[in-house]
Amino acid sequence: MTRYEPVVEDDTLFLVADDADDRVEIGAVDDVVAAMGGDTHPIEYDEKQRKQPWLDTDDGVLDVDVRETVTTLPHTAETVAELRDYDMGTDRYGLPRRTVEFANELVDILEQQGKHDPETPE
Amino acid sequence: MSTENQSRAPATDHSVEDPIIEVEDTNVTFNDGHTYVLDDANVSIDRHEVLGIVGESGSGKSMFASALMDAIPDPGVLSGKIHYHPEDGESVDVLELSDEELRQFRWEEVSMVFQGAMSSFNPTMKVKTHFEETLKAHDKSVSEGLEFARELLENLYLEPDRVLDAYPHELSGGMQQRALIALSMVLDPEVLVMDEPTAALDLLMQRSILSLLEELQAEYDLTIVFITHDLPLVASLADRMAIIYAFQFAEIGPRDDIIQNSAHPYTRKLLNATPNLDAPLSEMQPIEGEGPAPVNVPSGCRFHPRCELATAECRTDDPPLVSHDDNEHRSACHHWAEAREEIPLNFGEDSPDVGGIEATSERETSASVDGEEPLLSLNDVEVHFEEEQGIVEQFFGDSDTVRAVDGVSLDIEEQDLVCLLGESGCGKTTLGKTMIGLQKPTGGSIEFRGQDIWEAKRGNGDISHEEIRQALQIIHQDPGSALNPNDRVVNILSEALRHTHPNSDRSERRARMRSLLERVGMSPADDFLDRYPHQLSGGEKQRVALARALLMNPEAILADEAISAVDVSLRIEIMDLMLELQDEFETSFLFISHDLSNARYFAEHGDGRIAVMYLGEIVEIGSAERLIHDPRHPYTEVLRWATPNLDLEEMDESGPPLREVDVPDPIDPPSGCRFHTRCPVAREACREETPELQDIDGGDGKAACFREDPDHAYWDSEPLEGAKADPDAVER
Repeated sequence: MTRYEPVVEDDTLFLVADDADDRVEIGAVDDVVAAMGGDTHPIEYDEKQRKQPWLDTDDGVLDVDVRETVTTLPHTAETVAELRDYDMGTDRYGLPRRTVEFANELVDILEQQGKHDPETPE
Repeated sequence: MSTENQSRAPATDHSVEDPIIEVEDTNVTFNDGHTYVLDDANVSIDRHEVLGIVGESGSGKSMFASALMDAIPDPGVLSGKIHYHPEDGESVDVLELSDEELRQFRWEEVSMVFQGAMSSFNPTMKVKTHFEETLKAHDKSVSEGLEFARELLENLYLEPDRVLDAYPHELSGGMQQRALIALSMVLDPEVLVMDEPTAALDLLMQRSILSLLEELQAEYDLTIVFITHDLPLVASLADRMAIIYAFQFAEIGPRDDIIQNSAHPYTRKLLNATPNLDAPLSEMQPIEGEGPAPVNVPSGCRFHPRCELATAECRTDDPPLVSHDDNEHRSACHHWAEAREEIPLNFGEDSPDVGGIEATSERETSASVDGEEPLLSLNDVEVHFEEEQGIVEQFFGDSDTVRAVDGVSLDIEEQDLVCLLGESGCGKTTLGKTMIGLQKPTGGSIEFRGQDIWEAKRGNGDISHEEIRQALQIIHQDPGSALNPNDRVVNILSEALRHTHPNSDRSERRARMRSLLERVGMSPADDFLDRYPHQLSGGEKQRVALARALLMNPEAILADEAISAVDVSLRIEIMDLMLELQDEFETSFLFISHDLSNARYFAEHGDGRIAVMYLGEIVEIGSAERLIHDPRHPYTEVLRWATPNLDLEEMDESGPPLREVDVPDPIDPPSGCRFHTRCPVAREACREETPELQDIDGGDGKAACFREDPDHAYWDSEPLEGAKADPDAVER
């Protein structure tokens, strides 16, 4: 199964296939970080979740280093295929459409974790 | 009504011989002790047993799970006694442990996979790091622990190297859940508490995971407490079962006793309300009403407002949880003997004859109605999602393509009913959306009364695109997300009416909406019209979504897993409503489900067909009765196995009739028959040649399997690795 690793060249982020001659340009790292809302992204876990032994947080909040995440997290071939549908030239919020869609994808990945609903007693 | 607890008579549990956990007089309260969300629990858990705990959402079952680990969320207060008896060592009262002792007790002695655990990963850490952090936090050897983790992952049918090297988002839901089970077991706990661990997965994956749990339990001498709303699901795994109703244990006992001889009206009604393959359709009945909120608990027996056997005694005296037969089966009902008499079970020995294939409707399941044009006609429809490739792949002509739907031909008649059945990712939603014109096919055609839908969209049709769009409606799985949260029900419905009745005035529109809301069971309608979606229950939201679809005067409605979000006891009611409305409004229904028992209910009541999908193809189609009693495709047999069943003999059968748990990558589907990599009876021929969907002998419908052809080369070819040599291993 092909995995696309992030590679940064001259501050531009590419996703590069680990087993094939394939790469796709995503945009400037600074633009991705800006589109994700800044350098940190907090994930708040609920009381049960924060008891998981692998979660080491004081207050149940994990502050994700966005720049590090952008430049280390690999992506699936399906995600890359979807990103290719967006043009690098199209302007959206002043940024290339593909850059924004990649930022959305990363935010989705981060937001899958942590609490989703306000806790209510059963 | 009172929010104060009315104490039950003491009911200490002495029914187990070697308890590992004893819960005594345990309560969980909120609101300064005025609101009970777990009331007077007295339950013992036997060492090495699987205890299945069943309750509807909001019944208090998750509070019981959290209490076992002293992990009640603030501001809840846990009181009582929870004794833990390790095999070696001294017994402890969990509620007396210090913070550090409790930290060690959790995960090392009693571990838990809870609801929402799939959202408790750190998305920036590989799965391997999750294991390492867990081992380090409990001062265990990381290298030895990782060895054990690999063993656990392998036992859960996962590739250890691949999973350990993956980030959580790179794994499917089923893989994430199994990784969580391995994480919960890596410290080698004695007790594993599982709170709705599989609810987010489709049925086949749920049943496969349960089957794996059974193996883990035997191999590692685990005690398992499995908590769920799904009674038949846990029945296949449990040694004993307990039923929770309105924050109290209503009944507990050996599994076979609970299923065949339950002594509480709620349990008996729950058994009768659960869609399953054993019950005759006419006997399935929803339980009227809803369980109470914790601030509104009835006095006396909490089930009395929903119980037809209730007497004055039930309204004042809370019945104790005791044995009535002098055995380990305890129930809390004043009228337990009458319950057994007056509420017959609709399956097993009590049930009338379910009827065989002969009882099937005589309607031809595949042919169109003579002389009439189908409402919808799919001809060799393909929906492929292309992936662009690098220069090397382009040169060699390879292209990665997700074949979401591949070569499907199907006619939907006027007032027809077709259920698309299959696992997540099999293409059923893509096919459904293609049928109603929401997804453009990349090959083949889709016609509405003879008019190509996509030609109409380009303005080249005898029937306008607007007319087609209005005629084909959809109801989503999650009605909450489909209803605008900022609009009142009246505005949500008005929008639909403006399309169909543009000239009607406000009072006419309101009258129509009122009458339809009453028709879908939302009464008084005026009360509901002014509500926002968040003020509606899941079932009510689904009714509004249904009303909105019907206001468009549709010819066909696609219901995409439309009852999955509804509580089990309400599902039959919503399905009945859809079927009645189909008849009344003369529409066709396309019903998408991963659950054969729900599809069966629809198809059989609506005189329709079930089409089984696997990796983008229809592999079998036919009447519900034929598919259930005489499945011809091995994949249909697998779905049959995965379906809730209350037949005790079948429950004890071994694991899934599959060679692989996970569905292959749709980008690179297997050659030949796409099911050959998982099929228990696959042979070399299946790898080389693709079976076509063909009429079957001695039954209605079609199947795409070489085993239907007695002269096929299949019979002379070698079984694939792991496949059974005996072709009769999959019984017809």
